[in-house]
Amino acid sequence: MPANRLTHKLKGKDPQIQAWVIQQFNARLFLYFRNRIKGESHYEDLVQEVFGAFFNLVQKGKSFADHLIAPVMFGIARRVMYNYFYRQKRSNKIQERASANLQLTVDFAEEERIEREVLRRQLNELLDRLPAVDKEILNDFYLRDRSIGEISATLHKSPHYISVRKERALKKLKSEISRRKNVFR
Amino acid sequence: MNCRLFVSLIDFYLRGELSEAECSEFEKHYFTCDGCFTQLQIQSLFIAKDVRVHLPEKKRAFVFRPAFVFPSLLGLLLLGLVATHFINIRYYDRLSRFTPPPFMGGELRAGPGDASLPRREKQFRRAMDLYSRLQYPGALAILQRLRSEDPAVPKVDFFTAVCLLLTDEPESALELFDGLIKEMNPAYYDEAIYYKGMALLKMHDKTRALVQFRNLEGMISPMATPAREMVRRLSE
Repeated sequence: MPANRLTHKLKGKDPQIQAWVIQQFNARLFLYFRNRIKGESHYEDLVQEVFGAFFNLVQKGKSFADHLIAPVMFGIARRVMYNYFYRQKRSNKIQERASANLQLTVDFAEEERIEREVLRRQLNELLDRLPAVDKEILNDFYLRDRSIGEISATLHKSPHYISVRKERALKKLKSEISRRKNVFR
Repeated sequence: MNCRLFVSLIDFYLRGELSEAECSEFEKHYFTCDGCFTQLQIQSLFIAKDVRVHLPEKKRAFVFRPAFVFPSLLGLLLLGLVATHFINIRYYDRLSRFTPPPFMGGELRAGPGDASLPRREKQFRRAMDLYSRLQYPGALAILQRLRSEDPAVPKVDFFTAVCLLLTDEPESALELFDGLIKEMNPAYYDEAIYYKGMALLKMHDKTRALVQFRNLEGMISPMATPAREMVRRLSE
């Protein structure tokens, strides 16, 4: 089994593999651009540009191992971001390049919104199941913007205790959501 | 960057507090690590305040309010006193229940030449007839009339006192029993002591009643056994 079987399949414009790549990196790219570029209303253009560049690279015959897909995608995303900032030069052929190489019609923004909504619902459901102390700590820290010191003073516990409880609660949420992702994948 | 360091930097990254180099390292990591990216997504929802946390209702801490506590304590105290009073009433009622002494017959005695004797004898029989049928107020009315005519008849005095006791007039009954005890009439002496004890119990005077029953307990008398029983019940 060759280590670069995914790029081989992508070169053959396999729609299943293209969908997998988009599903894998769409949310990451949105989060990346949201954190890097504030105030932009059309992140989907940048995401589309990254996917377009990636699939174009593969079509041009560039072959790399499967485990390098993520670093390559990140490299492209960074280049797109620098282009946005420093040169303000956006490719005019984004749309054509992406549609030429994509076998799927994808609304990247909608995909990301759905994924975020699913995650939000799962998170709300799991939060209800957490112990009352953990809920209170997460609520105070994130939703009421209170510091660990303030929370420890309110709950009459040490800051270390609060910090550990917060980390453990987040870890619990993460492991349950990861488990569900793997089940439905 | 390892996962542990990544997790510790998530909040800083989402709040834009990392340097450019740290940012690049951080981003490179979450493009390759699924678990860390999930954690980043979760915390990004928290930072964006896009989650809802249902907190349980807090129990109110105890606050000492004298304006509330003292009237409550006073109310409780009053309630306690009233409850004790009613419990006492029930207790003495139960203790002072007794079977009325039966009328064994017999005639009124009077000096020779007493012309009113047959009439009084008739009235007494009528009173005792009512007494036997548990009609104590009627019997009491007749007996009191007889007493007003001739106050020195122990039999009339005794049954009048018993009727008074049964119609809830223990104070008047007590006077009559005292008179009988003072006279030391052998026919009614023991009974008078016993029923005096009962009258005292009706008046909620447990100590004096106990003295009466203890006196009777040591005597050679048919009333000694019920007196002993009363001493036992009062000492419990």
